[in-house]
Amino acid sequence: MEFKVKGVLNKSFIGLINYETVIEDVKKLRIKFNFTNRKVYNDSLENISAIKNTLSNNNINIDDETIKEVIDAQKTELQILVYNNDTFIGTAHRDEDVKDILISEEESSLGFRKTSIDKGVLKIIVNVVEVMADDTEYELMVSV
Amino acid sequence: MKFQRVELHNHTTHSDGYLSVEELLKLAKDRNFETIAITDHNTISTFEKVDDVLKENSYNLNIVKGVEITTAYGHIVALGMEDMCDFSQVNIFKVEQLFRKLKENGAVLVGIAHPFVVGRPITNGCRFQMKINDYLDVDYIEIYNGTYELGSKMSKFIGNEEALEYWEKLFLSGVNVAATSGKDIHKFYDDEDIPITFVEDYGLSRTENLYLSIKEIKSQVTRGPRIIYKFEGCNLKINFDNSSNYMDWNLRYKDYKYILTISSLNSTREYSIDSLDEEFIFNCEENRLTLRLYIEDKEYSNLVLMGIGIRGDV
Repeated sequence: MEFKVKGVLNKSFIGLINYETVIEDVKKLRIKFNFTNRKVYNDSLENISAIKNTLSNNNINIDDETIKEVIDAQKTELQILVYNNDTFIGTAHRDEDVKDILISEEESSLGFRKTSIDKGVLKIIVNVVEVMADDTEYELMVSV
Repeated sequence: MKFQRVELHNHTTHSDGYLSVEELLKLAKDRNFETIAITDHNTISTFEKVDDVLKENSYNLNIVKGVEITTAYGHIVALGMEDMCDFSQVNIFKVEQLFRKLKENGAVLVGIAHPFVVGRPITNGCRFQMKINDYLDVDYIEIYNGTYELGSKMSKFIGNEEALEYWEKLFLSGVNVAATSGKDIHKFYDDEDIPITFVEDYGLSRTENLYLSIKEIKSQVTRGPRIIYKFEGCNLKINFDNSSNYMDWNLRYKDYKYILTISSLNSTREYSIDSLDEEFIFNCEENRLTLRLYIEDKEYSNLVLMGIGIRGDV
């Protein structure tokens, strides 16, 4: 069994995107996820103004060099959570734009339980924490 | 009175930390943490490995399992929660539902992490943007987060001073929430002069001491000194415990002069203190007070003791 879904996000969308499907008992599950625009150096006046505005609201003054460092540190952040019949299986919550996840009884990727997958509902949540640019594409693939 | 050091906010490679479970627990042992909470972002996969590492090593270390619930609208630390709940229905306008859900899923303590870190577009979802209408299921506010190195450019962004002021106003207005610090360990760090948290030792298990202290608002955030206080009528009697060797406090505390501030909802009184070895008695009419102790002057960076919430009515 294999399924693949894709999506396109616009800048500033945040929230959770849920994917659910029904599967049979499986001993090993592989989830691959990737997205674009993880790092976008955006020194537009709009972005610099937004940064300065946030800092001003917090009574923080920083120099132009630090503004550049802030811009350099900005990133798109999408994370993955996996549930099976309402049982939590794990999370891929690292600063990575490619996530290759293995789940099985013998071995699982960091962030995931060592477990088989029971027949029933497989729920995968894309936790969209930050999107830095329009037309940010993501792709989710599940295979057993 | 005995105290117990607790580190309540820490990560491993199971989420975005750079320390393996083995490395984090060895660091905790080497730095003399007495209790360490394991609070990876949105996962509990760490716990099995934690149990294995403890079996393999004879660390005198108490572990509290938990999760840092990481949403795009703020982070919530759920201590004692050993399974991860589904937070996909979180409503930032009714966050109390999420707090309740965490408690129903085993969380004994629920805390708000780094609530005033600067928000978007500088940090991703780290600032707490949910509206709390009812603090019934909130047990503590992280008033000091040590993510950024002291003195670094980014350290301005963390909002600790604002978090302290927020917690003080909250407590003084009658809300029963404790104050804590969190190193928020993601990697190895130098043992900087950062505030750490002590809780009271009631003679219970270390975990029970932690839970009870937070519930009773008896935690203390400090760079070394601890406070022992007691109300006798309208008199607040204060002693300082300077026996902690954190950053050699027990060796250097006599080198300083201090300023103690005692705040109520409507006023702040200030006292100069030459020696922390004396006993102090203050006349206080108010039921709720917060205390701060500074070295030399009232610069925030000179705060050595904070997050002290005193209730005269209990």
